[in-house]
Amino acid sequence: MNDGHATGPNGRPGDASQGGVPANDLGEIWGALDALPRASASIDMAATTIDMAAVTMGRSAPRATLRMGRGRPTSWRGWILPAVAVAGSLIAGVVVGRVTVPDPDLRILESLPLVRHLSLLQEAGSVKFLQSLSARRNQQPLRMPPEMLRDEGHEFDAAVADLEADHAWRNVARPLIDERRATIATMAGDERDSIERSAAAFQELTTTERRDLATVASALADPKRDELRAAARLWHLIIAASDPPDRKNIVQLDPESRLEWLERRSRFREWMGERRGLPPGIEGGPMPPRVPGPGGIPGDGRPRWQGPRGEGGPQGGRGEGRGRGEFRPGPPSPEPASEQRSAKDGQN
Amino acid sequence: MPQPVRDPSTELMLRVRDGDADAFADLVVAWQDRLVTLFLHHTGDHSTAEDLAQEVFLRVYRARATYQPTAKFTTWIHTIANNVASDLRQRAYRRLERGVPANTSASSSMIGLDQLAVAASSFLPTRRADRTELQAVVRDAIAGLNERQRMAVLLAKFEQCSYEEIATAMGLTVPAVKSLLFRARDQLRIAIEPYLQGDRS
Repeated sequence: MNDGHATGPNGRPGDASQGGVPANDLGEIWGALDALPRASASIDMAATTIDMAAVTMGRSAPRATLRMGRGRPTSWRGWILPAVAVAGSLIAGVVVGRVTVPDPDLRILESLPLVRHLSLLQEAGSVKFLQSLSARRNQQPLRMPPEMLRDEGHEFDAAVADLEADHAWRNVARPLIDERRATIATMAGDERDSIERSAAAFQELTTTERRDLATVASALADPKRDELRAAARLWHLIIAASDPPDRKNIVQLDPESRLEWLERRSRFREWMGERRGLPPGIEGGPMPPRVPGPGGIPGDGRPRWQGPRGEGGPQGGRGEGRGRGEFRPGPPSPEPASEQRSAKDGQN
Repeated sequence: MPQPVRDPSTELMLRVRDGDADAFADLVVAWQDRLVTLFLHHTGDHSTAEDLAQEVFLRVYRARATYQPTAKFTTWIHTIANNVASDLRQRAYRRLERGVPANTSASSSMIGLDQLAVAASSFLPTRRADRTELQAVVRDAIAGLNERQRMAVLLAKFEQCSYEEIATAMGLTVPAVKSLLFRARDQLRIAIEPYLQGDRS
């Protein structure tokens, strides 16, 4: 093996190649493989990798221990030399200004718009998905109270407006970084905690994932791309209308699987609409307003499928019992939504 | 007792083990293009290649405390790279078992050898292939190999590994590696030979 590529990228190994090494045994194929190009990593790959390693370091052990590498020193003899070395490297780092060791905080501040809206951008997924969604026949998700629909819509619009107002996340000028730093410093504790959590999640993303996020963010920040914004907004509402335990899994699906999931959902709703004699094209028909049970809204408060016509099961846990085949608010239940659903599956 | 091995990457890795963050950055910079090249030709997709290369670096970093310089760093990192590639394959299998279509452009770019041979035979065999065309043919031919053959060929070609080094990295015996490469050569020859003949003429 040639550490450091002393023989050149595509060169044969030196004299050792005479004694039955792959170069000889592959014969004329070896030369043909020269046609394959050498690849280069993207410019931000090293910085992203170091970011990711920094997150690993922060999670696996106390930061100070890891900075020193191999355990917490027990006496001044143990820490004084590494401390001097660290101080020396810090000074040297500042003086030399090495680009290979980025400041993770600086990178977070550069990418702050992406960090702030990380969950929304991850939810949107990719431009490819949004384009596919935009081209698809869609209906508003109706299994949601109007006020909730309005709130979720406003939340999305505010995030997009925020991205439009500040969409610099590459080669950000120093004054803007300082401004962002100051903004974070003045944030309320909860908001700052939320940013810190997002920043930690962001640092775990690979270069490709960060690039995808930036692409989606650029698309959403562009007022000319209304169709993508509309698709992302619709998807946001669909996700908000889905059961909370399912949301994370849906968001993690790749574009094809998301569309497949949407297709299944639409078919199910059309089938439900047909059963209730509603005209085609209305997803499951309008929802009755959600009414809290005697003990308030149970679990996540979402209305529950009461089972198809003719399948009763134990009546005790099934709402009012009128209008079979409709969504109705159920009685209070201590079970989370997913457990409740499993229990019902068992009953049916 | 095995003697410690010293080469530039091993020296860097020892510094990483001792908590030197600069050394890790140097190691990443020194190895990133090599790993991306290896994974690019293994998966057929540059983004996937970068993600896999990053996974290798993270595994190196997580395992730094256990690193012992009894073997060259290159052997160690190639073993990790092979494991990462193997994990990718297993994830793809699991996705198929769940009925979810694989989403790597790698799989979409991989075509069967029969198909490739038919494609190759549609060209005039004596025609000299230009570099771009030859590159596409070789890339498709490599994609037509099975995963282990492909990794063995790429380690040999791009990382200049010997049989012993490939065997160590892939957890195989030397005869098994020779057998892999022998079969890979035969398969590659079927696809590439018309172009090689063109070159000779």
